[in-house]
Amino acid sequence: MGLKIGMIGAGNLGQAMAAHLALEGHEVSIYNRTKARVDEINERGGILIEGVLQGLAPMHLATSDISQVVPGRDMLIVTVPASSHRAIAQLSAHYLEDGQAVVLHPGHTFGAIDFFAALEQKGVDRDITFAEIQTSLLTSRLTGPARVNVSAIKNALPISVFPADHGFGRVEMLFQVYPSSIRAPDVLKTGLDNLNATVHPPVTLLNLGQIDRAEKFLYYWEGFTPAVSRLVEAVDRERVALARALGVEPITIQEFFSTAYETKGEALWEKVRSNTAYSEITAPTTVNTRLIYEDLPTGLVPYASLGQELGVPTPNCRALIQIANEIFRRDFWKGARTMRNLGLSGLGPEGIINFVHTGKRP
Amino acid sequence: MNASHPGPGHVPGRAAVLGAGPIGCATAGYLALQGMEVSIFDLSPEAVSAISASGIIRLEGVIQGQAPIRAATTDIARVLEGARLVISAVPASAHKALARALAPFIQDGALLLIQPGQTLSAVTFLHTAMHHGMRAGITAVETLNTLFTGRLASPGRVQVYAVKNSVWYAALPASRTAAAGALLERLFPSLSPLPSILQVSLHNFNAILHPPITLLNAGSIDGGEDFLFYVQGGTPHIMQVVEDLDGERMEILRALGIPGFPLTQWFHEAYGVQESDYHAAVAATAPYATIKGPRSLQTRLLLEDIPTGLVPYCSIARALGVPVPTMNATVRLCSSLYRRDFFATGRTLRALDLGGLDGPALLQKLGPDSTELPWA
Repeated sequence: MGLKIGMIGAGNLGQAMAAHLALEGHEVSIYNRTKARVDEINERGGILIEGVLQGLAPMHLATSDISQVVPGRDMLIVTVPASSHRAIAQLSAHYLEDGQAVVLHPGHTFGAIDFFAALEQKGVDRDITFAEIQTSLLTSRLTGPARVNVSAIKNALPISVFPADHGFGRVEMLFQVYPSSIRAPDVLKTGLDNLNATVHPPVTLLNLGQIDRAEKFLYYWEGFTPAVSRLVEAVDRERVALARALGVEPITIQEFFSTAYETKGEALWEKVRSNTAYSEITAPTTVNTRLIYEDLPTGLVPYASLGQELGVPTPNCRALIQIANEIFRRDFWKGARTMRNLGLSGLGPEGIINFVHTGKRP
Repeated sequence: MNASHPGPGHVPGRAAVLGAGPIGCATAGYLALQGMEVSIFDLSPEAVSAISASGIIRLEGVIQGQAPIRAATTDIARVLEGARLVISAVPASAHKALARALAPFIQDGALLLIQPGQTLSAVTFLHTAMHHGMRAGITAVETLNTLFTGRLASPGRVQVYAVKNSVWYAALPASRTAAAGALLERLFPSLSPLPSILQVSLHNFNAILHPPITLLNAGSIDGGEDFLFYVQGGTPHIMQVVEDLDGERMEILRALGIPGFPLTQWFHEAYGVQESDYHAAVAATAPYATIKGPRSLQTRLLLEDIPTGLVPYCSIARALGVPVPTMNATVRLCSSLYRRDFFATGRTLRALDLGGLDGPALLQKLGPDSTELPWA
């Protein structure tokens, strides 16, 4: 029997996954803040999906009123940028119900804890299983009104739940639709394997001149030079040390590129620049990019803050945040996923590990 | 001599110029035309052999003449023989090696002029030389910039583009600045004294301008792309980082109670630029219009300006308790870029045996009222 799904966000990924799950026989409602997107879906009478998945997928409901898609649903899937997870938590807090699952797709670093902490601040205490998908399950892009092209379904993506003690019961459906997905032990594993945070900020900042000049270049194939690679590896070593301090055995960036893609060469930059999946990925043409605005508050800042909490040095994470603060004239620490904002200050490594398993604060 | 740069007159005595690149050759030729008996040293035999063979340096451009050279050699002892004026004309990254080499041979009472200098060059020179057996009591004078700009047309022949119209200097200790100036200003009218080497050192604008532009264009440079360093590389967002670095530098000066001025005022004084916005000022600086970016990261814009510019800034700030987060972050990221720790290898107070000083102690040792060497 199909589940009742509330899809939060009707961008590339939201529309692709909504359509996919509807075609799989689930009852999908979709929410988007901007009403124009919703109207397009209603006008078409569903979402047209093309590429490796095909069909016109009917929506149970498409709305810009979040209160219409949260109550009565078995599972909510949040596909908005991770930097908006907290805002979605605040908007939906009073409509959430016991027994629901909230899936953050993707979670970035500590998305579930951020969502949970936002509910706590609203005084909302519900029996909810959170899940984090490490990166997006579908490679997709919108090609027209309520029309989406899916070029790939990714394999072997890790999924974790919070609290881990809940187990995967409420999110089994994900493993039926995406059977190669991997059950990760907890959100520390998925959160600390967030490689976007160790790749995007250094590559973007060391190529800031070209981006600010709006020059066209291939983000990875041209922007990931040997020197850039050295900084990425320095940041990655800090991430690996953080993970180990929490008892997590992380994947290193070298291992990731050796296993996830077919690549050539020994050096990291050789692997990145021989990855055919990156052959057409162009750099942003403005500094106002998610590669900074999303990956700092939901990746690099929680890493740096966790380092401070655990006494693990993260000088490169901190230096990148500092330079970004100057460039963007804003304080990326503010409102970001710091240990303080996540309610993890003072817990220590064992307290943090215990919390992600039980969902109970000491 | 070119009519627009009349020489100040006949100055007797021996001078030694260390470094036979364009700046060293221009300086040696200029001094010889003033009547000094000049020798020139370089590590590389190719740099001195032509001068040695002909016995002259030929100056062209804004200064013209055939300057007789007493000796051009790779033997530093010979060059320093009897020299009462010694001029360092090597890049800052070679200061320590040069100080080691001259330590046993420099004459007692000699005046050492360091041009170009970078931050804390007088301290660095004296510290290294004294650690390598220098017995002589010498006066070290630091500048930031070179006195001339030019290029070598061929060995021993230098095209002088310009004589700088204002180059600051100060001696260490500060009490010796006036005596040094009596000789130096007679030779180089463009030299103008500041009250202390701290004031000179803390107006090192290379350290403010070069690292952020280079770092935030590192992808392009490492990829071997052509771009105009200031015009294209100094984008609006990158110049914000420059502005913040400059603000931190001004905070260091303020904490020391030393008068200072921002980079934009320097653009105004040196190039007549009116703009007070950092991006607009760089865009309006005429000599920057054609300067290209380096074609590789093996560039002095980081390899020299980080260890001899931003690192001593960070170190002085730390002694004063002034927060300089942008300077620290820039040094950190550059360290990772090259996989070397610039904080460990650069000019820190600690490396100069001046660690543990606070503001008043730093001023006493290096400031305008200093009367003896800081290690005395």
